[in-house]
Amino acid sequence: MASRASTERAPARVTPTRHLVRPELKRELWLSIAIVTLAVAVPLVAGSTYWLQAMLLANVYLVAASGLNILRSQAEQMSFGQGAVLGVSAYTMALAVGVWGLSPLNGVLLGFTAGMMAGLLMSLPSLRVQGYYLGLVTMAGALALPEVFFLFEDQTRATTGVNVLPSAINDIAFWQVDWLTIVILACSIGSLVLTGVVRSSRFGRQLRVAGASPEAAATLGLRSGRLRLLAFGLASVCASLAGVLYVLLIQYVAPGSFTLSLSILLYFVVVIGGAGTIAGPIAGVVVLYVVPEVGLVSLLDYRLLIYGAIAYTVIFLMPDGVVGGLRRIASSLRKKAEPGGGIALAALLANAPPAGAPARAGTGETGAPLLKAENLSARFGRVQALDGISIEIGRGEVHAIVGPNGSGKTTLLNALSGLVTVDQGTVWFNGEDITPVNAGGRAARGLGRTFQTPRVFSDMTVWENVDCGPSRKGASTDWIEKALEGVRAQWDGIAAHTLPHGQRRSLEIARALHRAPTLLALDEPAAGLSPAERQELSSLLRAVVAATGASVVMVEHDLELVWNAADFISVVDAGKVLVTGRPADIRHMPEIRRLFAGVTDVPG
Amino acid sequence: MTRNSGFRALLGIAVMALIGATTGCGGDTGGATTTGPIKVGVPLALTGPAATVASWARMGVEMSAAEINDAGGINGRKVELIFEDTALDPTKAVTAINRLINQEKVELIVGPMTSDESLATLPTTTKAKIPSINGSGSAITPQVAPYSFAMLMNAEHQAQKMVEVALDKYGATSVATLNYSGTQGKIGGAAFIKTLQSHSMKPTATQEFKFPVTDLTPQLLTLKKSNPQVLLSFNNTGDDTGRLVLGLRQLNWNVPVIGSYATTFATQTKGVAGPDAFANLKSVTWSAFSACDKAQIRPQATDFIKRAQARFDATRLKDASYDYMAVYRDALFILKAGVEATKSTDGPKVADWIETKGAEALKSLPVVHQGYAMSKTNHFLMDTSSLALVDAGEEIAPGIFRRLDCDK
Amino acid sequence: MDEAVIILIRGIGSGAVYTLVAMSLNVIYNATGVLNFAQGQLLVVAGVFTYLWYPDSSGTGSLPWIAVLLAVTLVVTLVAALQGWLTLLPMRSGSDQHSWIVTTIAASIVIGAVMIFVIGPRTLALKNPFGFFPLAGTQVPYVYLAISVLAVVVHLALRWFQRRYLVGLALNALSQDLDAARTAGISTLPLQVLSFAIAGAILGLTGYLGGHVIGVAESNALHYVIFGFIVAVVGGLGNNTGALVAGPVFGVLLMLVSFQLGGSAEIPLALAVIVIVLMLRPEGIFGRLHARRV
Repeated sequence: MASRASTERAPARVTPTRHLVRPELKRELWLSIAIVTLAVAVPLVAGSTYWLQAMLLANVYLVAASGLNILRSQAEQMSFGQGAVLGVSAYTMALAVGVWGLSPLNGVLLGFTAGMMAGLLMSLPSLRVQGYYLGLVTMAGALALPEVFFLFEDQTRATTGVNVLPSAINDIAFWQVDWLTIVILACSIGSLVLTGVVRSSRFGRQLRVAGASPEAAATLGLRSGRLRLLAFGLASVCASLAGVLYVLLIQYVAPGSFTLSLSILLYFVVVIGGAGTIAGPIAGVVVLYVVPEVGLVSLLDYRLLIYGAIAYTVIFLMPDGVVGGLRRIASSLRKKAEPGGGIALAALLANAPPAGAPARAGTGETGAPLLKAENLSARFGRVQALDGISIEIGRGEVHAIVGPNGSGKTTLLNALSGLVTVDQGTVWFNGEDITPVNAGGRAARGLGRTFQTPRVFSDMTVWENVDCGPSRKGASTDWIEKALEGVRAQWDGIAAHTLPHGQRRSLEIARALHRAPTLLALDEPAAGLSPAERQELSSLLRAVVAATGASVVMVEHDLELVWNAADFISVVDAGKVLVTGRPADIRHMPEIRRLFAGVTDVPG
Repeated sequence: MTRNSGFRALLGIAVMALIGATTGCGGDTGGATTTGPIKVGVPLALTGPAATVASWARMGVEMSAAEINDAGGINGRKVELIFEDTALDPTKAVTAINRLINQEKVELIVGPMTSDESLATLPTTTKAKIPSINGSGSAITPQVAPYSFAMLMNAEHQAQKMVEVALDKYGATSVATLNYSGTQGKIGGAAFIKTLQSHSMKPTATQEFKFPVTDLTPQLLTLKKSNPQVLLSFNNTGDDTGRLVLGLRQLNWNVPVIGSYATTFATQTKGVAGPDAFANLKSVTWSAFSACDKAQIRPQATDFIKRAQARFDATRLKDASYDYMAVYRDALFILKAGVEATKSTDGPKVADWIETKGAEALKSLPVVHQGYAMSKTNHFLMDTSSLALVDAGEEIAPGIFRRLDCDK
Repeated sequence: MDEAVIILIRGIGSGAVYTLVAMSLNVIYNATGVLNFAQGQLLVVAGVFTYLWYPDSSGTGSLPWIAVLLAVTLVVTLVAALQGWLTLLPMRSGSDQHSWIVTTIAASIVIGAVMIFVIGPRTLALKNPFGFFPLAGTQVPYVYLAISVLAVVVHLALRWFQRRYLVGLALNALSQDLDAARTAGISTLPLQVLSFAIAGAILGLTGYLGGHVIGVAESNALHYVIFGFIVAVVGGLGNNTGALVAGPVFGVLLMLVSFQLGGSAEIPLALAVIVIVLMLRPEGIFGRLHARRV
């Protein structure tokens, strides 16, 4: 076989060119840079001080919004605190320079540091709460900030505000351009580049998984808490930078400038501009700041009405924001289907070393079960989800868990992969007691996992979806990496949203395989698949086991699939295993008869 | 590539918008002209929590512009007003001032309305050497504002006057103080304590409330517990004044109250607290719109009220405070006098004239208020002599309060 | 001691306003998963119409109070339903599940701007419809009692409605599992718009009675809705019983802080409450702990 041959000769790892910014994002990035540069250059050339000042302030907001864009879209953290971080940074710098008499440079450093600390404070709740709750906590912080300034009036001079006199940065660098203009433009371009780089990086994709599905992240061995803090850190860098730029530009701060409406404006800029895109915040700043505040000043009585109406109309007509909407219009005008295509896991598996290769995880003595769980119990409120359940999964087998709804199947799977803490019982994996090990640790030991609803990010390519875990150290993953490198170019050209449902399962399995698991836990892999796709899935599972020697444990309702694909079947009810055995051995048992009533004719 | 055409479109739109905007609005290479209308920038907090008061200021400025234009303008040049909304936000005020100066090429500015907005914008106005009169009640000194003057009564002056009235007219030996938590209120509250200290006293209790107010009961309970003879209150609007009166009444606490300027907004106050709202409440305000008896009513005040009523319809004038309107009306006249005397709109020249000759010259000019006392060291247009204790609940003529600190 | 009694009664009354706002937030949240930021402004709409139709502060209005109450409630119900429909429309495209954050804040901004056009930026002095009762040497308006009673009545009415009527049951079902209800073929949009209408009715009643307790100002709208959120979250999002208890406790706490520490400590304290509760017990004091959905 050709593929077999290739694994033998491959002397070095294939390292295709890695892009700092993905090629299809490059043009968007260049256009964005061109827009912000023009926005500053045109008023400079035209000699319009007013427009220059307005555009510089717009760029300062853009810096803060780009950071929020990463936080909101990449890490999926709802924060209404970005304006507050900006405010703390700006206010501290103004106090340092205007009141304490520090040099502007020291003021910038101090302001930036204070902003970062405020950002850290804003991010801590994200370790505890998510979604609305995080939004509310950060909103409470933003709402409280001006009040806190007033509460510490003696220190903050909140009632009068703080003036900062112009410094060397306001001097002319060349022609009519002062240093501040250059610095602001550089920061705003920097924030756009940062968005592009994060969006293109594996780190960015890890943020995405951690934000969208902490469970999925854990089973990939990602530490979502730390990733979230990092995302908040990036956003705070941008907000703190915007804060010090704000002071240099406006030369005055007062609590009234950093109210909740600033945070709301920044959030709106991200969502209405087009969350997750590089140019989105630019469009947002144009639509929500430049147009109502600068362009339509003569209609001042209607300004708020226009602001609200623009926000609503954009979201109504373009739910993905201005940039997302323009994209959609453009692609529908062209009426060209996006490059679709399928992914074939079979080809991938063909690359595996000879079937039946000795235990890949290595450490366990052959013969002993790969995973053994004894007497697991878990209780949720009044529901005893697991009631002293025990199960063994051998090496290289497909083990199906079946049972009625609410019998504890998914809980069992969660308990095995570490997503649920059991009240009692022990889990051994490869001979090691992993009961105290968390989901991330179990993932690192070779436990892969997929979910009932595939965690597929439809705006990324298939490859990006697959390549979002940390690489698993110590595992002999060479063959799978090589195999994946082989399909990388092709998979990187397929948008995940073009994949049919069944292929999304394959994608999730490929993501799990990328980490070369020794045990693959699948939750209802056949849900929503067509009969043909079920057939494919069935042979795929067999192929995985055959090619990698890994075991598969799956919860499945489709008994036909179970009957065809499983080596062992465990029947679970009311948190206990009723029966375990090979299909042929257990098929005459009454529990099985009852459960399999509809399909008994299939196995014959 | 599908995603890119959207961006091409976006870029196109953005560039066109930019070019359109810049060419449409023009560059500012021309500099101020000395012919054609004289542009006056008026940055006011037309939306947001101070919008009501801003609407009065707007009427005042509109009135003076119309009167000046009817009389032939400033140095023969018609006045053109350009309003900007600051929404009470210093950042927006900076943008607004920038637009007025660099885009609209205004030569004079009336506004913004508060000290934080003024402080935020002063570097810009000073740099452009534009003479201006703002609505600050604090912090305006010749150092921070060389070409700018504050027309509102100084919060500290008010607080001093209120303490004096409490001690001298009421003979109080114990006072409690209350203030709203905005800039003026905080400064007023601090000045209460400072002035009392200079009389070797301290308040029996101090309290603060946030604007807009919901229920003042807890604050008033604290103050009542300290059992003062007089309550000093630095308020923000007629609404919180009304709520103060309601709260006192519901607690059955008949303490005499001396209120700051905002407690003279009688229509609002009575709207909340009923017609007898001012039974225990007396206010410190400008003396221009008060008199001890009918014979002493100043004709400038009654004329002003008549002209305002003729110019604006009743819905706009509803609840409006004439003395507040009048300071904004006077402001433009003061600038006009300075410009005409110096034949210039240059900040240093106009400011110098206002500092050295203004107070004297205004005595013969058609301004409504009195007590003008600006100087090289004082950039507040009016001093404590412009203040009086009045019963805002009693009008001895339409718009004229009964004055209480008359010499008998 | 007198002060304690006064603070208790008045605190419960003002807290009841936030309870009612919280319950109206809960009704919508349960049916749609949306936290409607525009609800502070809807309360202002109620206050504005009360003011317009019942302007006489002396108590001799041309319309009987019950007629004004019903008319105001009807208007706010309709406005809320319209706002709800406009909020839910973009959500059906399903592209961004969080479009409601933008649309409800946008609705709040638009309603606020319209209210300023209608009545100007004033704080409205609403009539006290029921007079006073004496308490510890002071006078307390009956509305403080009325609003507390209203909170209990609304709570009971919602329970009764959700158990007695099929529509109520269906609304309740939405709260259990929105996706399941959708796949079960329940036509969700009319039901969800209905939830906005119910919330509007609650706010109409609250605005009429509570306007006198808390004062109706457009610039206060955010304050109403944030305090409503705080009560809803402390009580457990979606849990009306929690809101019924949390509101008065919160109201009394705020007054106590103003009394003891001064009025400037009120807002920072309120915000500290929500942060502490969310950190220690994100599901709220009365919230149920939902099993993790994996």
